[in-house]
Amino acid sequence: MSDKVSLAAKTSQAPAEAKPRKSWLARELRHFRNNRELFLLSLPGILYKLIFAYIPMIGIIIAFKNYRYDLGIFGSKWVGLDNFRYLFSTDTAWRITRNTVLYNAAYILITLVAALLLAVLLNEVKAKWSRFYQTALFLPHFLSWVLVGYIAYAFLNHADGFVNRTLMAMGFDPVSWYQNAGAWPFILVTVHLWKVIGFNTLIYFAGIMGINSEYYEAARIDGATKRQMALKITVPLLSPLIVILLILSIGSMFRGDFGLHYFIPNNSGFLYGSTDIIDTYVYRALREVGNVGMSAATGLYQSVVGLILVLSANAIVKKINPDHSLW
Amino acid sequence: MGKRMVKLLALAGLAVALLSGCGSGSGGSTAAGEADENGLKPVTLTWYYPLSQLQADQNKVEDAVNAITRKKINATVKLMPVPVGDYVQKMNTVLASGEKFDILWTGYMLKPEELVRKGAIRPMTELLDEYAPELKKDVPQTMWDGLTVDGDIYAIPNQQINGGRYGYIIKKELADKYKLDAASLKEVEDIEPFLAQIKENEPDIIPFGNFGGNFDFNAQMYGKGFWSVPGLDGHFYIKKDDPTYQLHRYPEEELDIYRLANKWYDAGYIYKDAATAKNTDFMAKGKIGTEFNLVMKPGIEAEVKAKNGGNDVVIAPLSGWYSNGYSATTNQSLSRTSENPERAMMLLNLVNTDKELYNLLCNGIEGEHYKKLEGEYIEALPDSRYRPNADWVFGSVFNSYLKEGQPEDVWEETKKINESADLNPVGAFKFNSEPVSTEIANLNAVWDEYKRGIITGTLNFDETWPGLHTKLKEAGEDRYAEEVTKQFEQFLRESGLKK
Amino acid sequence: MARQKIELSKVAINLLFTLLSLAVVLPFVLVISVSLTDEKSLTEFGYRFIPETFSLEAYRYMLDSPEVLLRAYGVTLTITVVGAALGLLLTAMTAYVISRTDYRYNRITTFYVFFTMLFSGGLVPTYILITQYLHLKDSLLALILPILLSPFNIMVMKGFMSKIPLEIIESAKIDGAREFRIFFRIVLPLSLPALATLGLLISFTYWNEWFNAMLYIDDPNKVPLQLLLVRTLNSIEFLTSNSEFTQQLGIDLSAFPNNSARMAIAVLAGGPMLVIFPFFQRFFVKGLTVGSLKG
Repeated sequence: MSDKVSLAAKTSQAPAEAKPRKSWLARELRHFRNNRELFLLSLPGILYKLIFAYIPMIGIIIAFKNYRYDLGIFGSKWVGLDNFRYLFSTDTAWRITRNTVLYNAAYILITLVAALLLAVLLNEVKAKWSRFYQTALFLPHFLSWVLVGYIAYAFLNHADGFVNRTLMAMGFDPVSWYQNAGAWPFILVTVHLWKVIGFNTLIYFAGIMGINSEYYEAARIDGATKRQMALKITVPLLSPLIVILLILSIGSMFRGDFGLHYFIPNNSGFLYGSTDIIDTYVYRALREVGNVGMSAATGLYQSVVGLILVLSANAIVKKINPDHSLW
Repeated sequence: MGKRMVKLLALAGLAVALLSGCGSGSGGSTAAGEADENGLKPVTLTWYYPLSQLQADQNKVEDAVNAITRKKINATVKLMPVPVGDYVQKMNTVLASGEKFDILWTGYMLKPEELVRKGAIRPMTELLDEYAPELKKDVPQTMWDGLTVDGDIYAIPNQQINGGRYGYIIKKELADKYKLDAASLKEVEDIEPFLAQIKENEPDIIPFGNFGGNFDFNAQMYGKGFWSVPGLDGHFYIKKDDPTYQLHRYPEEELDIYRLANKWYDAGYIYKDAATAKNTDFMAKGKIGTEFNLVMKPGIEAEVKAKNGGNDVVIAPLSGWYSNGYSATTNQSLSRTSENPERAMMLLNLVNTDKELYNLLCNGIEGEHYKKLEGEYIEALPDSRYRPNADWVFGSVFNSYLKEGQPEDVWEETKKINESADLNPVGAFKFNSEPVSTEIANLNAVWDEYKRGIITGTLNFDETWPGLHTKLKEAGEDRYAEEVTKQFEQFLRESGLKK
Repeated sequence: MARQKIELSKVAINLLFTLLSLAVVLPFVLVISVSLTDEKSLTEFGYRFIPETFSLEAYRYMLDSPEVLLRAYGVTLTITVVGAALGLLLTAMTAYVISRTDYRYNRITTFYVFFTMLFSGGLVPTYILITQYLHLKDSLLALILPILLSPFNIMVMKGFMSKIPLEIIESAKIDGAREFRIFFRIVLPLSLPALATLGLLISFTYWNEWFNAMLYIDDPNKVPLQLLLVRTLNSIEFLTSNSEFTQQLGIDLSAFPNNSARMAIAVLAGGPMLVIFPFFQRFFVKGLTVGSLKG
């Protein structure tokens, strides 16, 4: 091993530089040897990601090509940024970007607060009941958006939806929900919360389970109230988890939930102003063209913006509390 | 190092072995073996096609199919039905990845011309002449024209009705009650007094069942003396009697259709939430008084009755039979990756000429999946485990057995229609969308937002149009129109329609 | 006094959860009751919470070919068990390493993993990898491998594991324990609730998996449960929204599984998860401490 290192040092241009470089390499190797067991633990995961994620990333270049099936990924012609053009050439670009970001921001915040609150409260309930509630809240996770779309339609359709029948029974006029854009931000946020609340509550609840009970014992002896314990012990100890989940969701800020925004509003044109997001727009635009290059371009655009957002978020977190940053 | 290290390495090795997989190599289509008496080496052919539902006895039928194909062309066929809802996604992935296979269904949602531009399917002009002369002769030239891109044929049509006539389908009970003489209807607007009567007296019935899907404007434009130019977004027309083939974009006649829809919507003939409701919710309950239809093929009354809760209907065709050329609705194409295109062509020839093979694909095995009745009629057995109900997917429906409700001469009649229909002179035009794919993507997205609202009349057209038109301009309307005009002019010159 | 107050707040919390559970469960009641309603009365009256006319027809329809359903259950169960076990182990291993703040390469590895959450090569390259290089078409591995290790899960796991005090690990090291032993003997038992949560999430991912099956599985004997459900829904969606196509070809939609059958499939597909859930919940144990391990 060390032979190779010195060989590498000899071949480098300036002999004067060789010495510090050698020691740097040697130091790095020593570090690596010290850490090799940990490295080996992570090796299967790293290899997996290499094969199933990094190697296929070659395909990212499709975004810059006029992809022809017979020419393949490498043989197809380069077209520069042509595939990105359709995303930015109209006013709609602003609308879908705004919607995507605002909806995701709302989803992130509301889910965070609600799930945290429920998780803390669940902790106060007898174990038997807590399990029951967890199961119940988790149920919507099973249903695909298509099916949720059918259910939502049963509630909202004009003729005999439950909502309109209730409204009429109470003496109000029925509402054409699928043509009334104003109501949709609320409907979408509600449906989203309904679908994911169980999942997120479960994660935070598991986090609370992992907190050393000695902390609570000590607080109880000091005469702390439940609320004080929640705010002073539970939330701070959960904060690494909270921050991680926050950064993760910020990374997907630019990726909308296609199923939610397509099936729940029934793809109604009247609602696009308030339901249309990048993903549904792209689906509509490319459904007939079926252009691999253009869809790759969209994905890349979303990824790059996501990366920028995450890097910024992580940098901010690092400033505030370096222990909580992702890297 | 030590033992632990070895263990760890073994674990990592295991993971790698797992990751690198152990499935056996798939899809070698050139099996070694003896050639048959015609000098044909045995091959395996893979054939992808869509089905509404996969069939339990698929393998049994495949075996029966192979008994025939092995004997006749020494080929083993691997049938690969794909659920119709997944077909486009799956096939686009399979094609884009360059997977080796032989035949695929192309058509309505996977257009052969688009696949040609992407380099997915192979030309078959020569193969047709050599290996399928009977088939080549059997299919009318119009259809071949419709499947020709840049001078080469790229698909074999599954012959069926090619053409339509538009008109109304009216619930008989109501027509009788209000003494509507279906034959007296000549124009689209003629139905108005009838709609008014229903609106007035039948609160439970939707007078005009227009849910944005079927009040087709291209069909109506035919009645107004226009041909729609096929393969475009539907808003380009030529005048029927115009020898210069001048293109018209959004002609006033088309816009009048949307104004009419809006008038009827405001009058309450169209369901209030039509633009967002589902046709089927009302259809099956028999709540629809009148419906617009653009095919009106022989036997349509029985077809509609089966879907609308068993109500009898009368039909009122408003036009004669006409055809926009062949719009490539249902065909078979050969994959670029096929290693045995000749044999694939022989198979397609066989499917379209061998009645036994074709009906095996369509209906399964006699006695097990269906039973023969008198003449050409058959009936599916109860609880049949093979009932794809998709004759149109496999080959020419003219070879299929008849089912209850179909007139005995249905295929002769259909052929007659195909031969005699008024033919769009520019039906063979094939647009190459590649230079304007950005514009098309954006235009599609804009139209999607308004289409149902406009066609159902929910939106006041004259109020909507200026804004919509601005959006279309912004989305690249002009560039698109320019490219279409350019290619259309070239087509006119090449086809000799214009000097 | 104070006790009463506590009791009262307990009641309030329970009440809140009961209401929430009701709100969440109500749509499920609808799904189940639609699956039990006679199809005719569905077309007549629409969805109702209490069936107008009770009928088991939808289930009879589904159980008509029970072997298809049973095989699909078998496939789903296999990929869920194998996938969740393997996925959980790998997730924990990777997450543990990047949660160790004293590990020199922890940040770079974290980024390496996280990057794959944002960027992907897309469908076509992955398809080529799976079918042409790994030759996994029609193999259950094609259902297990592509979703084996999710960066999201690794990050969440890291969040859980970073709560384990470094001192425990240090002291174990001083006692002469190797990393491998520390991970399996100390870290994993301490992370039981986290493992249960992630195990649950990974099992659900596998239970709900259909997309890869749609791409890679042609053999009807290897189709998982969710694909049976989803492809029926997809086909109905497609045919009902392309009426010009169905009109031209005269495709008869009435032959399709109707409303009640669709819901029955959903019940049959989701139901068994109610058994899996409690299995994992057993591991949600409060306050595991280091002391309890050594005992």
